[in-house]
Amino acid sequence: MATIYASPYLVDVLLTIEGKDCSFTISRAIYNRTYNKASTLVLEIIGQHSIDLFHIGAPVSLRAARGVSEGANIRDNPPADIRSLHFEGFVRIIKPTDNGGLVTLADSLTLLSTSQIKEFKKNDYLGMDMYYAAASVIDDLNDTATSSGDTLGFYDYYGGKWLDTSRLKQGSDLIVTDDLDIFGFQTSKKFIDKLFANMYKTVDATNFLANEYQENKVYYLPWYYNISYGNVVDFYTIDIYNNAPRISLELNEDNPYILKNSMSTQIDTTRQVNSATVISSIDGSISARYDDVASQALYGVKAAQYNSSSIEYDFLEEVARKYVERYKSPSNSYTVSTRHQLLLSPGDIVKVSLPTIGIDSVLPVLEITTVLESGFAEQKITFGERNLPASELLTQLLQ
Amino acid sequence: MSKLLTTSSYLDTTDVAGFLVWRSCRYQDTTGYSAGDNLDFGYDPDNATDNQKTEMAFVRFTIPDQTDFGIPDNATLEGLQFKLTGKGLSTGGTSLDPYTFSAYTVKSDVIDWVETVADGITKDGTTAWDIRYLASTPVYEVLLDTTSQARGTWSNSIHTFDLSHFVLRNNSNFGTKIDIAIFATGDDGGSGVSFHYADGDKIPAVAVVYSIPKPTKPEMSMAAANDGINAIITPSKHAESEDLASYIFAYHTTEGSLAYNSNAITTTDIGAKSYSTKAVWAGGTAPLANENDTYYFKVFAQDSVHTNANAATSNVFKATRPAITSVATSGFTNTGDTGSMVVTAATGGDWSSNGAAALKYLYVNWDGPATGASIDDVGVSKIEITTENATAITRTHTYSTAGEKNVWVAIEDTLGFRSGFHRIDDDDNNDTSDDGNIDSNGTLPDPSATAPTAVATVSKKTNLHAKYGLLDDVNVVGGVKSVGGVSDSQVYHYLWKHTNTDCIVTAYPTANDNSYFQDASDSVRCNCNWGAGDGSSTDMDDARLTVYGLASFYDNNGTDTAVADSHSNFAASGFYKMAKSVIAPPHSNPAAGGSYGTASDNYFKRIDMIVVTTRPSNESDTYPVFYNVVTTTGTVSVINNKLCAIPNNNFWGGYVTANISSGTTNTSSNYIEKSGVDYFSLGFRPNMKVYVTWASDTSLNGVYTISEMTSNGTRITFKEDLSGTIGAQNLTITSDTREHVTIPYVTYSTDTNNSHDFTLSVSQNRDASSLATNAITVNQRVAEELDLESLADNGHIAILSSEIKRQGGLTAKMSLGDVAYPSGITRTNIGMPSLSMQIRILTQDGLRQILAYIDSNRYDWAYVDSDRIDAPSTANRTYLLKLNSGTVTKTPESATQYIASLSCIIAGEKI
Repeated sequence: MATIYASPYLVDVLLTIEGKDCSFTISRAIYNRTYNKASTLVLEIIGQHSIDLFHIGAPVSLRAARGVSEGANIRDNPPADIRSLHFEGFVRIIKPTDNGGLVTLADSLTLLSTSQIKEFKKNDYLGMDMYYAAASVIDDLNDTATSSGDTLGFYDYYGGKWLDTSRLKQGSDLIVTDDLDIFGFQTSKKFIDKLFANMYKTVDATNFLANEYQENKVYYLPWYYNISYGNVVDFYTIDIYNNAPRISLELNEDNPYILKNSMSTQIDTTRQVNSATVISSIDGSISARYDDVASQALYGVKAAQYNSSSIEYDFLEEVARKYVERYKSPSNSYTVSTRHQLLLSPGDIVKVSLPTIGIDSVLPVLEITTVLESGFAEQKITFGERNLPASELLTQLLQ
Repeated sequence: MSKLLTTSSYLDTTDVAGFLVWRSCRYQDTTGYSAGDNLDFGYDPDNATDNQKTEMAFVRFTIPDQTDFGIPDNATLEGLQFKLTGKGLSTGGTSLDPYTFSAYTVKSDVIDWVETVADGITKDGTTAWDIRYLASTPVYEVLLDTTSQARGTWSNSIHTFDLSHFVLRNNSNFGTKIDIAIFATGDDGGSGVSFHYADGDKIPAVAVVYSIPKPTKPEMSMAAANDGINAIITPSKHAESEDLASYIFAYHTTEGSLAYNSNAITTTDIGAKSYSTKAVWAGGTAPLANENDTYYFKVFAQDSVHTNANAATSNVFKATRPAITSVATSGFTNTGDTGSMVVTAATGGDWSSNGAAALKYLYVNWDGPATGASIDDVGVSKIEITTENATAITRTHTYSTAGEKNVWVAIEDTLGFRSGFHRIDDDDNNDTSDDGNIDSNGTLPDPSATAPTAVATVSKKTNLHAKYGLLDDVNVVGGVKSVGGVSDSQVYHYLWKHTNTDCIVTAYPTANDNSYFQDASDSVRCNCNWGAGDGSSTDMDDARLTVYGLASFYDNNGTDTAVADSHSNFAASGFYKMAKSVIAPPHSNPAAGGSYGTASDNYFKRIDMIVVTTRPSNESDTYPVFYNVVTTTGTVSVINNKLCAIPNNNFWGGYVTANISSGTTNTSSNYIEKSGVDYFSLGFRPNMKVYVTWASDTSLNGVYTISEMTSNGTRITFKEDLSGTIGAQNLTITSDTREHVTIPYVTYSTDTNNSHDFTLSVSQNRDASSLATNAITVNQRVAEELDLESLADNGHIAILSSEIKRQGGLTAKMSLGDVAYPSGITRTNIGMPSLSMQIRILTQDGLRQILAYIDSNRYDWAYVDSDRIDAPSTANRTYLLKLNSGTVTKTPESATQYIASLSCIIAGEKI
């Protein structure tokens, strides 16, 4: 076998505009990915002539990977196994400069927000699994946008699929019900966002094997969506509560993954509740309060009041208890930067042990910004936990 | 319409005091019997000579008013009845048979006898009584009615005198005074009979015949009730009558057979705004039970007179529920696949001709219970059918869970009437036989579980073979993007294996717990799960592991000598430097006394990487090997027990499973045990998470963490508690491979560059069955190195100067005020090491290689020695250099040669 000269230290990049290799045009790429919205790619373009290659709506593909060998050239055979830096999107903003410019691109999810306003009728979705309902909206977009895609300057570019929904098979077992206030005239993205705002996977420890979750706990895992790579759409939950979490990477101060001075944290108590009072909306004289004394001793009293249509004291108390259990700790988010691996993407789970800033947790990756430039291939990773808004959690608790 | 009051409706003097009086008078008798006295007849004073009846009774009454009779105020008098009841019968005489009595009007001149002549033998004080029947001067005038009764049935016989014509002729009404005379018209020759006069309801009594207006006809309409199965009957116009008493609700499925008594329910609720058929027929057989069958309804308005068939009748109104004639399903093969269902209403029957004949809603529960489903259940969706005049609807659905689904459907028409909520296979009671609700049954969807999708990713497409223990040599394969194919499960297993038999691929080379070296550096040693005697060819002591890391040394008179940093020699002249050691497992299995192999020659303060550099020749699929690296001094602590290198075996990725027959469980000490089974050899090890299932005591089935194992491997103790009393039973233990979703690895070879696959197999079953796989190809190669020392030694370059620098990693702040020195000094790392050097390039060969180093990716790094002072020909360190910047300068002073300035990051040490 021929010697493979590809260097694992080198991040190779292939950039195409409308199918044409234009890798030479960029000097810097900032790729931001998070959940429930389109990923963005900001390119620094070299030369005035290069900027002419980009035009609003132009489909752009960026594939980058470390250690790509000649035998598996990303130009000929995009490495499907290195997906964390595979972007497919469209030019949305162009800022020309004296000698080049900045181009901002958004991935195919942007088509959901730029879609035509249409009426999403309750009748079309009642009884559907919300997961498949959201997938069907994307499929509908595939059908409709393809025929009018030339308004964006291209036509049927991805074989008739702006967004690849082939992986959306799992389902959520949460059906669209009559009482969901999500219908009406809106963009596809707004409708999907409303669906996802109501999609929570209930994990009841009693339904699992012993020790799989903390005993008698019930967790509500929000569903997310994003494009994990290319135009492949993923719907996912992040289960950090399982006693055997699927950890993609361990970050700690003893290993070389974390760059110095890159750690920051935000501890947010705005949603903290350690004393909840639930009042019956039917009979205001019936109420129940639950206090977490330990949390109050640590953080002070953070009280909140909610209403429930129940008149059963025990039920109200249970709602209050669950609420406090869920929100008794402050919500945390952390940001670190790493260069060693470019493996992570939003939705991954990382075990973070950073005594310097008081973290020793299993955390989900919420957002990743990858910066590629001269001598620089770095990922800034934001960890944290998406808390349920109070109204959403209460809805869950009352069911 | 008139109504004759029944016998029980007669009024007597006990009902209305004083309205009825009578007087019984005998021929030439001296005493008249007044009301309350005997009503005797048959006395014959002339002893049969004139053959005339000689006794009579005068009766006077005022017709009681409507209130007395309990009849409507607007009742008008249409007839009158006077009733006597036979009492006694005397013997003797002529034994007249039958006895006949007649009622007459009374002459006006004697009409007051009934009350004003109390005693005496004359009617006027002088004239003898002569009240004989047919006498020349009778006191009676007009025959009104006659009754007769046989002797034998005299007692309690009813004698009713119809006075209707009398009152009609006289325009009598309620309150009118009536006088009549009752004669016995036969002569019994001295014997006689008597009527009751004081015995309860047998005494003389009066009844009236009256009439009232018939109620007006009610007008009704019918609409579906909210449940679609019953109906709401709404009176657009109630029946009207002062005496309206009740409604009869009647229905029939044949219009012509609809009568007042057809499935009739009578209610006195005659003013309701609406009537629910469900409530009306709560005590009877409710209508609308059959689908596609028209039910005809009619309401009969009754008053006290007009009842049953004579009641006032409403319009006929009707309702027909739709029926499902067929359900057809298609698709639903797998979860995630969209299937469709067509529900068709029965047409051509009653629903088409009398019902709505068009559908408006479909109710569907895509995953309902086997029996007893209700349209109100959670999970039932009400789908509007927007097509006009639809008689069928097609609906699609996608299941996220596998298994047969009980689909229940109902259809609702535009009038709001529904079919029943039926299981589409027409087996609502789940008894496997048709219920007859659906003509053409559907098939229950039974989607199979869509297999999970394995998605393998790798961090770098190419990695370098480990040579010096550089962390950049580590690559990572990950399967976290794999997704399950069903919503009620998850990816429970991530099984990894590699196909590389040319190189050695070590899993988890960096998963080293260095916390044990905090107090003191230590040598390390290892064992593995097999050893000589475990089986045929199970000696694994020819395996070699190379341990890279920071180790402690002291200057032993010019020789760097390994020593623990807790040793006094280290205190005198100790230091740390990067080092490597090769260790090997022992000849025998630990269970057979093998314990651990020889300890490393270095004392490590931190282990960066452990690489399998020689696989044991006896390793095979039968005897897959993992390595367990531990400390040497004091309590044995595990540094890394995940190391594995076997190719083409999921054991590499930490997958282990074992079925144990009749294993023992100790719930007091939380362990399982099986004599003769060496769990350690099978691949189980401390800190491993495992699925454990008990064949009988399944409540304990769960995820457990191995805390320790006995030296002979027969016992596994868990960190988690076990509870209860559990007898010996079969056990299954399988590693929980969720913790192996990503696996860091390094490859090792001194000379082979190649590509090989890593295969990820995922399962959404806890027993790791039904695996879905995805393979990725990753390249490995030997590092390309530029040996600057050799270039210099061979005269191609001359190193003019060099500078080693380490910068950063330390921050400090000067506080405000006059504090002389900073506080808050924090060292977060030991700074960035760099080396810069100036080189004079002496030859074209040197120029080519230096330019290749600067201009391209020809070399992964260069290395250069930092020589010892006391032995300049000996390297104190050999640094691996990644070029950061390079300058090649040509000046007149350098003639044909070049001056190169290289600024490098020190990537590691050549050890």
